[in-house]
Amino acid sequence: MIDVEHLRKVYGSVTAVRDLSFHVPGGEVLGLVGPNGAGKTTTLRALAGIIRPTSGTVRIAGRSLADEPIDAKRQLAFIPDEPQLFDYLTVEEHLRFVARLYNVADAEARLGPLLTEMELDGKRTAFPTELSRGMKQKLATACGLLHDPRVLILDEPLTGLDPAAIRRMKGTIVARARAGAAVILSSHLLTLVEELCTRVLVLQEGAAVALGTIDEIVAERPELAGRPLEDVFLALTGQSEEVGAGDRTPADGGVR
Amino acid sequence: MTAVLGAFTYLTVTSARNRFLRQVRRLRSPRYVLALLLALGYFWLILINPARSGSAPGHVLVGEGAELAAALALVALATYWWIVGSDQSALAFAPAEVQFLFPAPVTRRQLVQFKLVRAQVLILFNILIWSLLLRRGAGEGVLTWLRPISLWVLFSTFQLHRLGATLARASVAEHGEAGVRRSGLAVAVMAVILGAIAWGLVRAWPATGVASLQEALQLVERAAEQPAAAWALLPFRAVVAPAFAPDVETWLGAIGVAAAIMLAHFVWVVRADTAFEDAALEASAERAARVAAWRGGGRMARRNRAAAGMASRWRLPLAAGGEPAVAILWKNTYAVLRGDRFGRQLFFFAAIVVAICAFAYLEPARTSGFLMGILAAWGSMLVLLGPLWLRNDLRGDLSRLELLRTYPVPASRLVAAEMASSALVLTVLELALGLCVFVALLRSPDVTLPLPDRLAVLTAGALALPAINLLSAGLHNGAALLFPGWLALGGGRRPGIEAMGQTYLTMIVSLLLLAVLLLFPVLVAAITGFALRGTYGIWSLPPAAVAGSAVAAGELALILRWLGRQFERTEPADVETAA
Repeated sequence: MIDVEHLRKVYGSVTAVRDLSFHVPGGEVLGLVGPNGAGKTTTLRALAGIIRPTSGTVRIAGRSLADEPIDAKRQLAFIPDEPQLFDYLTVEEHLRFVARLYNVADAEARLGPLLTEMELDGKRTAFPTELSRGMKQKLATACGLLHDPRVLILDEPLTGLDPAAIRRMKGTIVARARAGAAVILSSHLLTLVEELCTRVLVLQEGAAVALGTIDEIVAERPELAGRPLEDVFLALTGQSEEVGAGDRTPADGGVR
Repeated sequence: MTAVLGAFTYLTVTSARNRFLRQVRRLRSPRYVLALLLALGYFWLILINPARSGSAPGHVLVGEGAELAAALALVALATYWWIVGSDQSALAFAPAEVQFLFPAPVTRRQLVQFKLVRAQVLILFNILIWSLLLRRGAGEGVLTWLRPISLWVLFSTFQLHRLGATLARASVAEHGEAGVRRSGLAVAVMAVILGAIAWGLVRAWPATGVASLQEALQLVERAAEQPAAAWALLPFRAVVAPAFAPDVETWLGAIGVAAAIMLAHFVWVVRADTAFEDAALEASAERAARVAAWRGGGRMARRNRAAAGMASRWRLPLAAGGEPAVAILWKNTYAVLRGDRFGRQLFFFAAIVVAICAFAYLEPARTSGFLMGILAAWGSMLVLLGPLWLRNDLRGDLSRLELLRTYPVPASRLVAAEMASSALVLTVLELALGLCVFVALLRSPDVTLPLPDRLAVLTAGALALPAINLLSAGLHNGAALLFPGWLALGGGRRPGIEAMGQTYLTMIVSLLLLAVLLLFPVLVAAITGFALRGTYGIWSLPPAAVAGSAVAAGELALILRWLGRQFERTEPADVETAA
């Protein structure tokens, strides 16, 4: 569903992403993790067609983002960490706007259930500036889901949500993956990654330092067996010395 | 106190310096270098070139009656600020300023001082522009060097008055009767000034009415000489007097009074800080919502919500199927209809236009020439300046480039929809004005053109305007796409008349470019009209307009193709959002 080959992005003298290749099939949730400045956001933006890669190819549902950008974009939804909404459209009008952009024929039928799923039923006529941070995030998510994308790219999707909404959002992500969507989820919440993601891609200075299930990653680094995911992550990204890792045991929540 | 002011100055100066350096770093791109060279050439030819002495554009801005006109313009602006309210940008803080300054151990008065320090950057830059514009005007030699001081006093007073009026209105809104009492003196003073000027107009109004623009100007001059109006206008004329002083002696006599008025404004503003924090937060939230609502935080301002709530009754249908780019047009039209600023201005202008047209229709013998002159000037301004005023296109949306990029819409179609957004609203406004004029002239004895011929002119105008507006929108959107790092994008805009120098330069450049783009369409239209004139008479105008529009459409197609490619190449990091 998502095919990335030798993706590279250079800003001036800085290489943000270097030679990144991976594949995410339908039904899989890939966790994208890495320290600040590792190139996660640049990677997500390149996958969403926001920025053009310096080199390499990205294919969404079999269509090249460079050669068939419109067809590729019709298949995907990008939900950024900071919801981008229009000041003068109401909640419902945002969805109608998206429906037209993506030519969602049965928009009317989808609109109600989606608003209910996102708990925005009572906010249909509200403007973005009347919504809380969490509600804005829900609206951005609803806009992303309206056209039933085959590829879902989420950047810190739980930011600003309350505990109940976090549970529902996690349910939504899992449900979309079960329905066959390929999902990429970027988050600093390692527990979320561990809970939802079938595989993990760890980035460090723009390059992949690990890719696979957590068990596969640990299997390649036997010294990390039994350590919590946090320690695994810090070790992979070369930060373990800074935080005094190595003191925890499986009883603290270590990786099996 | 000094430490806080020092911190404010450091923040302002360092921010300005860094911003300037960042703009300079853009020169690594060849297109920015080209733009800079063209701009320098333009400045040299229009503003500095000694060979053009006496012919700089500023020459028309000074001269007999200019001082009175400037004073009256100031009265009109002050009235607008007091009655309708400014857009509160005078009070608005950037989100980072709210985050750092409001919780800091800083008094409200010091925050006001920060705004004043901040405004000085813009004022000083515009003084430079105006000094160049006016250097060929009245007064030479040493007066040229004194003019910047005059302009500094003038613009600073403008800015202080706007800030004071905004604070006073905010105080009234927040404290009700108590606010009225606090701001009562200022409101009363404005009421007396307006009353005196109105009384002067009544006293000077000729029994025969006003039939021409010249008679209207004479009426204004006579009204200003009436004792009550003369007294009322005194402070306004005193503020503008140094800028128009013909010699050093007059300047020395005028600058002291103007400076005293500025000082009085400063004291008034610094003391009128009772409602500052809330009003500033509200203004900041409004601006934040306008510029970058998605950055989060802040509740919608009451006033903004009220405006949006009122406008939300307007429903524009949008089918789920069809050309996706239409959704962009739909969204941008909502942005205009629900925009607080546009709604207020539209109401203000529509009321005046309808009143003028109704009056002209009912009293054709007394008014038509003069009033139609005003409406014609207004229509021309809409065509020429409208594209600068309406920014519901890429100039407003480019700050959301990341979001736009995710849409499954080809870049050239997306840019076309963005351009069409402002052109559509502008065309509707122009046609409405044209229709008003047409109706008002139905009974005018001054218009000798037969009714069918007038209809031909109206039809030709209706056919030509969309193409003109689209070309104009193409220029402004093209500039936004080509120089996103130099142009302030987003919902923000220049804060007031003190920034008019920049607006003036932008207007001249865009008009020159529009003239170049219209050259070929006008030529084709003229040839078509000439060829058909013998057969169809004045009715050759509509087909001529169609022919010209067809050529303009060809130009637009080329522009769109090019801008579409530019849109795809523009990096989100290159976009400079208005603060």
